[in-house]
Amino acid sequence: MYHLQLSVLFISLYSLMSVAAEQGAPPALNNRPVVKMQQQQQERLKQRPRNMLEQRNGTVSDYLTTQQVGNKTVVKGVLINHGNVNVVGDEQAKAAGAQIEVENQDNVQVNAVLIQHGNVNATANSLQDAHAQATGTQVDIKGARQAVVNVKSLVHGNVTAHATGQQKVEAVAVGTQVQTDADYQHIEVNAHSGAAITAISQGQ
Amino acid sequence: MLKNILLWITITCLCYATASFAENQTSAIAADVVVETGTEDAVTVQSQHQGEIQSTVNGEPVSPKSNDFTDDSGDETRDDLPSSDIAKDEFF
Repeated sequence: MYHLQLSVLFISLYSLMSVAAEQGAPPALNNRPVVKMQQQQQERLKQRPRNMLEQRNGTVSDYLTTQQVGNKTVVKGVLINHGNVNVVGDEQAKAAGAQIEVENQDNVQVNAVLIQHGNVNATANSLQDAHAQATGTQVDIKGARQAVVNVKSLVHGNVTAHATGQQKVEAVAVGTQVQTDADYQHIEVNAHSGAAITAISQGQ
Repeated sequence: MLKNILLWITITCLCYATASFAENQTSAIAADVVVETGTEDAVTVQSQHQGEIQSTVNGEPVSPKSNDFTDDSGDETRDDLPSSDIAKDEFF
């Protein structure tokens, strides 16, 4: 009888310790990169190659929120980029105004309004390959299995891509761009833009 | 499962222009909206553009096309997204 009581006591203690450990430890999902907002992207500029220079003036109004609803990562709100974005590089230049990136989430939902006030310019100038890409507003979802995107985009400014090179030369200028590599997706885009969208390539 | 698939859906309101020269691989693309997906699941685009959309290659303007749709995936269509995951009314 004494051994039985002792066994029950140990089992109870072990159960309590297990529950406490589970509550204290963060979910494995939180260890993965979740959402990279625009302000965080600016920190990444320091890691960019020296031959790519990005200049931003103005302010970023970030009213986006990220929630974990069950196994779904929900990003919603408004992101406004006030000001011009200029990216100059030799072989590659990518410029994006208001941008949302979600990486390595299995199930993603984005309900957002993206507004770009100002010009976006990407200039690539090289003696070899040159790729210039300028985007007013952009949503990138990478590494997701399911993605639901509902985006309203306003671009008030010129979007210009200018590539000059002597081999493969590509200039891409887009007002609103949505990219996903998910197996399942539902995408709704409502885009308004009110200025010039120009792509210029100069090759041999 | 659906690997190496590239589906470009390019919808422009007023015009779309693209050019590619095989000899020197020079191209320019200007578009109002571009949606790039891995599969052919539901994509809805509404676009209004006021302004000029143009692309030039070596100084030559490229003739515009409209509502260009290119599908080079060659894979099956996936329509089995769970309806519970399609939330349209949470924000708008």
